[in-house]
Amino acid sequence: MGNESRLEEGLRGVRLRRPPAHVRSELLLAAHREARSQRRLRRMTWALVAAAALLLVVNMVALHIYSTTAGPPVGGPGVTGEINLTPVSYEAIQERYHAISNAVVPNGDHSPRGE
Amino acid sequence: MRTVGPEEDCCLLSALGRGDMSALDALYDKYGALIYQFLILHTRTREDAEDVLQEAFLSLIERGRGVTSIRNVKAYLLKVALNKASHLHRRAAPVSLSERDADLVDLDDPGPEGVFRSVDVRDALEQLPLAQCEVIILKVWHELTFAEIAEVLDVSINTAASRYRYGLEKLQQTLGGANGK
Repeated sequence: MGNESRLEEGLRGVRLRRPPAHVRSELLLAAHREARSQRRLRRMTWALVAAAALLLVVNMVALHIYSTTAGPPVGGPGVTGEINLTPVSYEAIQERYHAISNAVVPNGDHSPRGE
Repeated sequence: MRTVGPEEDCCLLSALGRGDMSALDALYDKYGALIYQFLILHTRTREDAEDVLQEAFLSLIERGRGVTSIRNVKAYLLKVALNKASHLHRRAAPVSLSERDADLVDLDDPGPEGVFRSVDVRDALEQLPLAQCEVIILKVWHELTFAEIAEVLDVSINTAASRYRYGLEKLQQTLGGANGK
Protein backbone atom coordinates (compact mmCIF):
# COMPACT_ATOMS: atom_id res chain seq x y z
CA MET A 1 0.00 0.00 0.00
CA GLY A 2 2.98 2.26 0.70
CA ASN A 3 4.30 1.65 -2.80
CA GLU A 4 0.87 2.42 -4.20
CA SER A 5 0.58 5.80 -2.52
CA ARG A 6 4.14 6.71 -3.53
CA LEU A 7 3.33 5.79 -7.11
CA GLU A 8 0.11 7.85 -6.98
CA GLU A 9 1.98 10.84 -5.61
CA GLY A 10 4.65 10.52 -8.26
CA LEU A 11 2.01 10.34 -10.98
CA ARG A 12 0.21 13.41 -9.65
CA GLY A 13 3.43 15.34 -10.01
CA VAL A 14 3.05 15.03 -13.79
CA ARG A 15 0.72 17.55 -15.40
CA LEU A 16 -2.01 16.36 -17.71
CA ARG A 17 -3.06 18.43 -20.68
CA ARG A 18 -5.61 21.18 -20.04
CA PRO A 19 -8.07 22.49 -22.63
CA PRO A 20 -6.87 25.47 -24.68
CA ALA A 21 -8.06 28.97 -23.70
CA HIS A 22 -10.26 29.50 -26.77
CA VAL A 23 -12.53 26.62 -25.70
CA ARG A 24 -13.68 28.58 -22.63
CA SER A 25 -14.42 31.79 -24.53
CA GLU A 26 -16.30 29.95 -27.29
CA LEU A 27 -18.27 28.02 -24.70
CA LEU A 28 -19.34 31.15 -22.84
CA LEU A 29 -20.37 32.82 -26.09
CA ALA A 30 -22.46 29.82 -27.11
CA ALA A 31 -23.94 29.60 -23.61
CA HIS A 32 -25.06 33.25 -23.72
CA ARG A 33 -26.68 32.67 -27.11
CA GLU A 34 -28.47 29.55 -25.90
CA ALA A 35 -29.72 31.28 -22.75
CA ARG A 36 -31.00 34.22 -24.81
CA SER A 37 -32.87 31.95 -27.19
CA GLN A 38 -34.44 30.07 -24.25
CA ARG A 39 -35.63 33.36 -22.73
CA ARG A 40 -37.13 34.37 -26.07
CA LEU A 41 -38.94 31.05 -26.36
CA ARG A 42 -40.32 31.39 -22.81
CA ARG A 43 -41.61 34.91 -23.56
CA MET A 44 -43.33 33.73 -26.75
CA THR A 45 -44.93 30.81 -24.94
CA TRP A 46 -46.36 33.07 -22.25
CA ALA A 47 -47.60 35.53 -24.86
CA LEU A 48 -49.47 32.71 -26.65
CA VAL A 49 -51.01 31.48 -23.41
CA ALA A 50 -52.11 35.03 -22.50
CA ALA A 51 -53.64 35.55 -25.97
CA ALA A 52 -55.56 32.27 -25.76
CA ALA A 53 -56.89 33.17 -22.30
CA LEU A 54 -57.94 36.62 -23.49
CA LEU A 55 -59.73 35.13 -26.48
CA LEU A 56 -61.61 32.74 -24.23
CA VAL A 57 -62.69 35.53 -21.89
CA VAL A 58 -63.84 37.74 -24.78
CA ASN A 59 -65.86 34.85 -26.24
CA MET A 60 -67.52 34.14 -22.92
CA VAL A 61 -68.42 37.82 -22.42
CA ALA A 62 -69.81 38.09 -25.95
CA LEU A 63 -71.90 34.97 -25.48
CA HIS A 64 -73.28 36.29 -22.21
CA ILE A 65 -74.17 39.66 -23.75
CA TYR A 66 -75.84 37.99 -26.72
CA SER A 67 -77.94 35.68 -24.58
CA THR A 68 -79.18 38.47 -22.26
CA THR A 69 -79.98 41.10 -24.93
CA ALA A 70 -81.74 38.89 -27.55
CA GLY A 71 -85.37 40.24 -28.38
CA PRO A 72 -88.78 38.44 -28.03
CA PRO A 73 -89.72 35.65 -30.46
CA VAL A 74 -90.94 36.80 -33.97
CA GLY A 75 -94.74 36.63 -34.61
CA GLY A 76 -96.35 39.39 -32.52
CA PRO A 77 -97.96 39.35 -29.11
CA GLY A 78 -99.35 36.07 -27.87
CA VAL A 79 -96.58 34.12 -29.46
CA THR A 80 -94.60 32.64 -26.71
CA GLY A 81 -92.18 30.68 -28.76
CA GLU A 82 -93.35 27.48 -27.14
CA ILE A 83 -94.81 24.70 -29.17
CA ASN A 84 -98.18 23.43 -27.95
CA LEU A 85 -98.63 19.80 -28.86
CA THR A 86 -102.02 19.33 -27.18
CA PRO A 87 -104.54 17.91 -29.68
CA VAL A 88 -107.15 20.56 -30.67
CA SER A 89 -110.52 20.42 -32.46
CA TYR A 90 -111.19 21.25 -36.12
CA GLU A 91 -113.03 24.44 -35.10
CA ALA A 92 -110.11 25.62 -33.02
CA ILE A 93 -107.76 25.08 -35.93
CA GLN A 94 -110.06 27.07 -38.22
CA GLU A 95 -110.22 29.88 -35.72
CA ARG A 96 -106.42 30.03 -35.51
CA TYR A 97 -106.15 29.94 -39.29
CA HIS A 98 -108.45 32.96 -39.63
CA ALA A 99 -106.52 34.83 -36.92
CA ILE A 100 -103.19 34.26 -38.68
CA SER A 101 -104.66 35.15 -42.07
CA ASN A 102 -106.00 38.43 -40.74
CA ALA A 103 -102.63 39.23 -39.29
CA VAL A 104 -100.87 38.52 -42.57
CA VAL A 105 -103.43 39.90 -45.04
CA PRO A 106 -105.89 42.29 -43.31
CA ASN A 107 -109.38 42.45 -44.97
CA GLY A 108 -108.30 40.10 -47.71
CA ASP A 109 -109.92 36.93 -49.05
CA HIS A 110 -109.52 34.47 -46.25
CA SER A 111 -111.62 31.64 -47.60
CA PRO A 112 -109.70 28.46 -47.42
CA ARG A 113 -108.78 27.17 -50.80
CA GLY A 114 -111.04 24.47 -52.10
CA GLU A 115 -114.14 25.52 -50.09
CA MET B 1 -6.97 17.77 -2.48
CA ARG B 2 -10.73 18.10 -2.33
CA THR B 3 -11.50 21.62 -1.11
CA VAL B 4 -15.06 22.03 -2.23
CA GLY B 5 -17.96 19.68 -1.92
CA PRO B 6 -21.28 19.06 -3.61
CA GLU B 7 -22.86 21.92 -1.60
CA GLU B 8 -21.01 24.46 -3.69
CA ASP B 9 -22.06 22.64 -6.86
CA CYS B 10 -25.72 22.94 -5.78
CA CYS B 11 -25.29 26.70 -5.36
CA LEU B 12 -23.64 26.97 -8.76
CA LEU B 13 -26.43 24.98 -10.37
CA SER B 14 -29.07 27.19 -8.75
CA ALA B 15 -27.31 30.27 -10.05
CA LEU B 16 -27.02 28.70 -13.48
CA GLY B 17 -30.72 27.87 -13.44
CA ARG B 18 -31.43 31.57 -12.81
CA GLY B 19 -29.32 32.49 -15.85
CA ASP B 20 -26.06 33.46 -14.13
CA MET B 21 -23.32 32.59 -16.64
CA SER B 22 -20.55 33.16 -14.13
CA ALA B 23 -21.73 29.91 -12.55
CA LEU B 24 -20.98 28.10 -15.81
CA ASP B 25 -17.54 29.68 -15.79
CA ALA B 26 -16.97 28.44 -12.25
CA LEU B 27 -18.09 24.92 -13.17
CA TYR B 28 -15.79 24.96 -16.17
CA ASP B 29 -12.91 25.98 -13.90
CA LYS B 30 -13.66 23.05 -11.63
CA TYR B 31 -14.34 20.32 -14.14
CA GLY B 32 -13.14 21.46 -17.55
CA ALA B 33 -9.73 19.83 -17.28
CA LEU B 34 -11.19 16.58 -15.96
CA ILE B 35 -13.69 16.29 -18.81
CA TYR B 36 -11.08 17.26 -21.40
CA GLN B 37 -8.58 14.67 -20.23
CA PHE B 38 -11.30 12.03 -20.15
CA LEU B 39 -12.32 13.01 -23.68
CA ILE B 40 -8.77 12.72 -25.00
CA LEU B 41 -9.08 9.02 -24.20
CA HIS B 42 -12.42 8.70 -25.99
CA THR B 43 -12.00 10.82 -29.11
CA ARG B 44 -9.64 10.61 -32.06
CA THR B 45 -8.55 14.20 -32.41
CA ARG B 46 -7.96 17.26 -30.25
CA GLU B 47 -10.71 19.15 -32.10
CA ASP B 48 -13.23 16.42 -31.33
CA ALA B 49 -12.28 16.50 -27.66
CA GLU B 50 -12.71 20.30 -27.60
CA ASP B 51 -16.06 20.15 -29.39
CA VAL B 52 -17.49 17.48 -27.13
CA LEU B 53 -16.18 19.33 -24.08
CA GLN B 54 -18.16 22.42 -25.10
CA GLU B 55 -21.26 20.34 -25.87
CA ALA B 56 -21.09 18.69 -22.45
CA PHE B 57 -21.10 22.04 -20.66
CA LEU B 58 -23.72 23.48 -23.02
CA SER B 59 -26.00 20.61 -22.06
CA LEU B 60 -26.23 22.27 -18.64
CA ILE B 61 -27.62 25.43 -20.24
CA GLU B 62 -30.03 23.44 -22.39
CA ARG B 63 -31.64 22.01 -19.28
CA GLY B 64 -32.76 25.48 -18.26
CA ARG B 65 -34.22 25.62 -14.74
CA GLY B 66 -34.17 21.81 -14.63
CA VAL B 67 -30.40 21.97 -14.12
CA THR B 68 -30.95 22.17 -10.36
CA SER B 69 -32.14 18.55 -10.35
CA ILE B 70 -28.63 17.27 -11.14
CA ARG B 71 -27.35 15.46 -8.08
CA ASN B 72 -23.67 15.08 -9.05
CA VAL B 73 -22.39 17.54 -11.64
CA LYS B 74 -19.04 15.79 -12.09
CA ALA B 75 -20.62 12.44 -12.89
CA TYR B 76 -23.27 14.08 -15.06
CA LEU B 77 -20.71 15.91 -17.18
CA LEU B 78 -18.54 12.82 -17.56
CA LYS B 79 -21.49 10.68 -18.63
CA VAL B 80 -22.75 13.28 -21.10
CA ALA B 81 -19.23 13.64 -22.51
CA LEU B 82 -18.86 9.89 -22.82
CA ASN B 83 -22.22 9.53 -24.60
CA LYS B 84 -21.48 12.32 -27.04
CA ALA B 85 -18.01 10.93 -27.76
CA SER B 86 -19.50 7.49 -28.38
CA HIS B 87 -22.03 8.93 -30.84
CA LEU B 88 -19.26 10.78 -32.60
CA HIS B 89 -17.20 7.67 -33.20
CA ARG B 90 -19.90 5.05 -33.33
CA ARG B 91 -18.79 3.50 -36.58
CA ALA B 92 -15.08 4.14 -36.29
CA ALA B 93 -12.63 1.48 -35.13
CA PRO B 94 -11.16 2.12 -31.68
CA VAL B 95 -7.86 3.96 -31.72
CA SER B 96 -5.08 3.42 -29.23
CA LEU B 97 -3.87 6.28 -27.08
CA SER B 98 -0.59 6.50 -28.97
CA GLU B 99 -2.40 6.97 -32.29
CA ARG B 100 -4.54 9.87 -31.12
CA ASP B 101 -3.32 13.31 -32.06
CA ALA B 102 -3.61 14.75 -28.56
CA ASP B 103 -1.15 13.86 -25.83
CA LEU B 104 -2.73 13.19 -22.49
CA VAL B 105 0.34 14.41 -20.66
CA ASP B 106 1.27 18.06 -21.01
CA LEU B 107 4.76 17.88 -22.46
CA ASP B 108 4.76 21.58 -23.35
CA ASP B 109 4.52 22.65 -19.72
CA PRO B 110 5.73 19.71 -17.63
CA GLY B 111 5.98 21.68 -14.38
CA PRO B 112 8.61 21.15 -11.69
CA GLU B 113 10.64 17.97 -11.90
CA GLY B 114 9.08 15.18 -9.90
CA VAL B 115 9.59 11.50 -9.29
CA PHE B 116 8.77 10.59 -12.89
CA ARG B 117 9.50 12.27 -16.17
CA SER B 118 6.45 13.42 -18.08
CA VAL B 119 7.44 11.58 -21.24
CA ASP B 120 7.85 8.33 -19.26
CA VAL B 121 4.41 8.69 -17.71
CA ARG B 122 2.95 9.42 -21.13
CA ASP B 123 4.53 6.30 -22.60
CA ALA B 124 3.44 4.18 -19.64
CA LEU B 125 -0.18 5.40 -19.88
CA GLU B 126 -0.21 4.68 -23.60
CA GLN B 127 0.63 1.06 -22.91
CA LEU B 128 -2.36 0.59 -20.63
CA PRO B 129 -5.70 -0.70 -21.92
CA LEU B 130 -8.21 2.13 -22.22
CA ALA B 131 -10.40 0.72 -19.44
CA GLN B 132 -7.52 0.81 -16.95
CA CYS B 133 -6.14 4.13 -18.16
CA GLU B 134 -9.41 5.99 -17.68
CA VAL B 135 -9.83 4.66 -14.14
CA ILE B 136 -6.25 5.69 -13.30
CA ILE B 137 -6.82 9.21 -14.66
CA LEU B 138 -10.09 9.65 -12.76
CA LYS B 139 -8.74 8.25 -9.50
CA VAL B 140 -5.17 9.54 -9.34
CA TRP B 141 -5.42 12.97 -10.91
CA HIS B 142 -9.02 13.83 -10.08
CA GLU B 143 -9.59 11.83 -6.88
CA LEU B 144 -12.94 10.43 -7.84
CA THR B 145 -14.14 7.67 -5.56
CA PHE B 146 -14.63 4.16 -6.90
CA ALA B 147 -18.37 4.65 -6.49
CA GLU B 148 -18.28 7.76 -8.69
CA ILE B 149 -16.07 6.02 -11.26
CA ALA B 150 -18.42 3.04 -11.33
CA GLU B 151 -21.41 5.34 -11.87
CA VAL B 152 -19.73 7.18 -14.73
CA LEU B 153 -18.41 4.09 -16.50
CA ASP B 154 -21.52 2.05 -15.73
CA VAL B 155 -19.57 -0.79 -14.12
CA SER B 156 -19.57 -2.28 -10.65
CA ILE B 157 -17.40 -0.78 -7.90
CA ASN B 158 -15.36 -3.99 -7.78
CA THR B 159 -14.68 -3.79 -11.50
CA ALA B 160 -13.53 -0.19 -11.18
CA ALA B 161 -11.30 -1.11 -8.24
CA SER B 162 -9.73 -4.10 -10.00
CA ARG B 163 -9.07 -2.10 -13.16
CA TYR B 164 -7.35 0.48 -10.99
CA ARG B 165 -5.25 -2.12 -9.20
CA TYR B 166 -4.11 -3.85 -12.39
CA GLY B 167 -3.43 -0.51 -14.04
CA LEU B 168 -1.26 0.64 -11.15
CA GLU B 169 0.68 -2.64 -11.19
CA LYS B 170 1.47 -2.22 -14.86
CA LEU B 171 2.47 1.39 -14.33
CA GLN B 172 4.71 0.33 -11.46
CA GLN B 173 6.47 -2.18 -13.69
CA THR B 174 6.80 0.23 -16.61
CA LEU B 175 7.84 3.27 -14.64
CA GLY B 176 10.03 1.26 -12.36
CA GLY B 177 11.83 -0.02 -15.43
CA ALA B 178 12.02 3.49 -16.89
CA ASN B 179 13.61 4.82 -13.70
CA GLY B 180 16.09 2.00 -13.67
CA LYS B 181 14.70 0.48 -10.44
